[in-house]
Amino acid sequence: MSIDLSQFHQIFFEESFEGLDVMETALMDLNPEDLDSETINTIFRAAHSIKGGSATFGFTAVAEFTHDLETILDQVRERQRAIDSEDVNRCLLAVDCMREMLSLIQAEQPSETPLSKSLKLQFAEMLSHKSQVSSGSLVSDEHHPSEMTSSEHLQPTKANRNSLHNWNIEFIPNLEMLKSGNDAVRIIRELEGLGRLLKVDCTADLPNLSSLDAERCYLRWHIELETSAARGAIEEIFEWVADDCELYIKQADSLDHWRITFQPENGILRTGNDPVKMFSALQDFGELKVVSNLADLPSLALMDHECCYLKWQLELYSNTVTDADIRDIFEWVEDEAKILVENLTLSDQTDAENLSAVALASSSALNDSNVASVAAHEGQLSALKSDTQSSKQPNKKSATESSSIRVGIDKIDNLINMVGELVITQSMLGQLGGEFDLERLPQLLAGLGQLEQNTRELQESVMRIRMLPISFTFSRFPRMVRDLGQALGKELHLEMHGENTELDKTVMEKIGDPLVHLVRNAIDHGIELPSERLAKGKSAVGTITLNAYHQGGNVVIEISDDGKGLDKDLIVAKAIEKNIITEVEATTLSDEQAFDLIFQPGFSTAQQVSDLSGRGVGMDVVKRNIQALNGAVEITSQPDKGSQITIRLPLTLAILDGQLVRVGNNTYIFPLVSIVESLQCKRELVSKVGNGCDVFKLREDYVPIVALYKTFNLEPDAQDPEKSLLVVVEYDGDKVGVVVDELLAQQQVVIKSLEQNYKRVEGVSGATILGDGTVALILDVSGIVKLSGGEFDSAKAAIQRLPDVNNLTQKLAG
Amino acid sequence: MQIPSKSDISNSSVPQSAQVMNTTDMNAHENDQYLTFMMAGEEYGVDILCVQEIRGWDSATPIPNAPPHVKGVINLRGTIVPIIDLRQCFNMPAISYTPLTVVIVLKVQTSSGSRIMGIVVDAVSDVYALAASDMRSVPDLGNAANVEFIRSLVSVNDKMIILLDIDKLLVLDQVPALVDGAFTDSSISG
Repeated sequence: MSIDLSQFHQIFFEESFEGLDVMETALMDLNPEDLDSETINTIFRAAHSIKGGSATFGFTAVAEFTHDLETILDQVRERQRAIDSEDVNRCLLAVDCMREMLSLIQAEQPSETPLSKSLKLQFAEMLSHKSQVSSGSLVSDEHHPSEMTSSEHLQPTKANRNSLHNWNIEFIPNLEMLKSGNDAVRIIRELEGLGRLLKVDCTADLPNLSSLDAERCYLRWHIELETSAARGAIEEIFEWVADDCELYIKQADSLDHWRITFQPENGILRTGNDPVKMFSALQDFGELKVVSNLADLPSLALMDHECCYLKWQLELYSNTVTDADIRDIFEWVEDEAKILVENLTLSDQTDAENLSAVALASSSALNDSNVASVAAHEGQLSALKSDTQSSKQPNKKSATESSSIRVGIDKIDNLINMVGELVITQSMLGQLGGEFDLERLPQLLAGLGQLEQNTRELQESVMRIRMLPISFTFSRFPRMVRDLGQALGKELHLEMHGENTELDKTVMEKIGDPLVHLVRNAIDHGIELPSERLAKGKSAVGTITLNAYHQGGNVVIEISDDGKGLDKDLIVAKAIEKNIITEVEATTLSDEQAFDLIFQPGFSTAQQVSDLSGRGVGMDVVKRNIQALNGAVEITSQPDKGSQITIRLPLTLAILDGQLVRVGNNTYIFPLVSIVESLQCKRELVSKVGNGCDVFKLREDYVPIVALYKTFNLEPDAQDPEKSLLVVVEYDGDKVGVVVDELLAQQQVVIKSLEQNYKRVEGVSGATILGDGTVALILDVSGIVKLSGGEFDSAKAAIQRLPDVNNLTQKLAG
Repeated sequence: MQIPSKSDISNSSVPQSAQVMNTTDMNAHENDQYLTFMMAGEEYGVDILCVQEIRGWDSATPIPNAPPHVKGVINLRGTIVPIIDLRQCFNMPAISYTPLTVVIVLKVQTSSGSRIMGIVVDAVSDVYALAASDMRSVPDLGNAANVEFIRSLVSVNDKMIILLDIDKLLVLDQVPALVDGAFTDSSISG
């Protein structure tokens, strides 16, 4: 009988990721000087369950990796090994590495990463070191083969890379291996016959002398072999012991060769991104070769200095970088550029295997050699194919994979109670309906009232199921603050409040990245170096505070630091330089308005850029992400006291406060948060600006007008703007007036997906069901603006010219 | 259009029918049930297992800038379901809707999971149990017709029923490509 284990994979992954989180938190708490055995136990237990799970499901790479980590942890637990902060860092790296391996397995890709290989070597070294110290060379004299060299570690040179390979062989015999007449020394001698043994490490798992059984093999070997032989030849040597041992043969890590094709769109520089900065971040991983492609360069006359006309091809040689690392660097420009990441190492290897396959075949019959090379060639092709595909696959996977949440049993119990009450109310109403007369009307009304309350409570508890404490997001920050502090040489203290504040899961997932960015900014730009802080009379340790709480229907998240604060003059100067504001405007700016400027697209104060937060991403991306969640962000700052960023988010994405509007026979809904004001459209305030587009004079501003009936091809009550209403809405910091026929009620609406059964509709973000059971569409302002297209752009351009005309007339009048 | 008589088929096109059986994966079920409906005098059939429910026409909320055959969306017990006019899909002249106009709600398998959508047809006709062995592959109609979404033809009581491959037919992005002679016979397109 066999059970399909794959059905449990999802659960395994979830549990493992949780386990890794636990390990990470516990490692952070670990104080190398004063070991708390309970903390060590926690880490050990988590590692152990991951190892067990991955072995059960056949993810040997993970199991094997975790096994080494676990062995080390076990020794630490037994007080046989001292641990220093270096080791803690290594363990943290291992946690990262396991997380990555698991994600790779989840995406059905090979789980070996360069990081895992190098860590594994480090662990093996730690382990071998330990065994030599603690158990001495009691048995090793007998079993250590004479070939054993010192633990020198030779990297292959590039020249011999194609002919000679380094193989890492992990040979773990069973206790009973010697009884079957096999001899480890003989095996190792045979290995030497294939090439050069770079390293033979022997690790002993010795029992007490009293319980030592001379016929058992307590040793395991880690062998590094440099040879031109193929894997098969090595495997052949171990053929006779295959059943009596665990054997892992791997090609040792050489430098991975990555090719990154980066084709940004023209507008990429406007979003505040700078390719050069991304490249220098890449360079941190290893050797980088940059080739830029000038093919699309227009003639000098047509060139716009804000456009990016270049395309790049990058060749990266590194043994630590992973696909995810590279993607991480390009994360913020994914939308604005075409990025293709290929790992050429794999195909290189196939090349090499080709060679050996052909070489083998040529010694035999000629016909065979043809077959072999064709087969090898096919192998290479498919390897290349899968390689190029693999760069796309993970994204696709994550989109379709169903995620799950864990819900507290109290929430479920509560829900069941509610449903129970609902059933009671329903049966009461049913009975009432069966034998109804007018005298029972009060009873009916009471029953309906009860039903309404039940429904509302039920709705609230169902919503609560999706709510998770914000600590899920906050938990990543201690590690990040620690790492950043070390990297920047700043002393940091992180305070977190309100970790139990609950937030919708979808909102939580989307707020993670902006929060990381803001915290990075605060650490990088906000907090000064310790010496600087002491000079200012502040404590050397900088404090970052994260705070979350509920306010009304919103969740408020505050990120504050006690650093140097924002430099208003610098920001204003920069804004003037970048033509975001004029000098006249600058004189009247309030502090808040000035600070708000940093959220403008393309705004980046060059002085502030560093490796960490200066990947060239402006705060505008943060703001855009938060606005996409119907949230708002504001910033306050005092020089040398620090700055505070406040994010307001709706509790859930499933319900929205809406303003119902009517155009002809159709009802549409504006999200209430996007509406600035609604007013009567007066003809004298509307002016035409070329191309038939209208602008409206709203007090001192001019806002472009979009007629919903035109964009959506509807039949309005009247085309005369005088008889219509203008709803002024905000999008991306701009205002736009939308012409509608009538304003109806304001109400909370439940957002339903249009995409689920239909497809995305431009200008519509979703649908909802009104009280009468009909469907109404929820409007997406930026989509509507996009739909009205060129007309709108020309109006906007005209508006930018208008104030100058105003100034001119004022001057003339003056 | 010529409908070959039964004896005709069994003699001449055995390999073809075998092929149909294989491709439609119906070897396991001798008799599958099909719901048939009428449109412009022709009878069409869909696999009854795709049919979720049949309801009368009720006004739908139009979707801005949608192609003409997409009539809008309705609220089907809390789910937003698009309604598609199959006549317009097939480039047949539209008829005005009455309360007797029928909407068949179908569950369609697509690459991104299943979707629910409604199709407006003239009338629902019957439910037949059809044996896979009776189904005939679609003759090559040249470029005049796109036969990709016709699963097979079958004759019941000397009447031809066109069995639709609903999964292929209602892939929304491709629907507009059906116009111009696709799925018409001479009486309609002419």
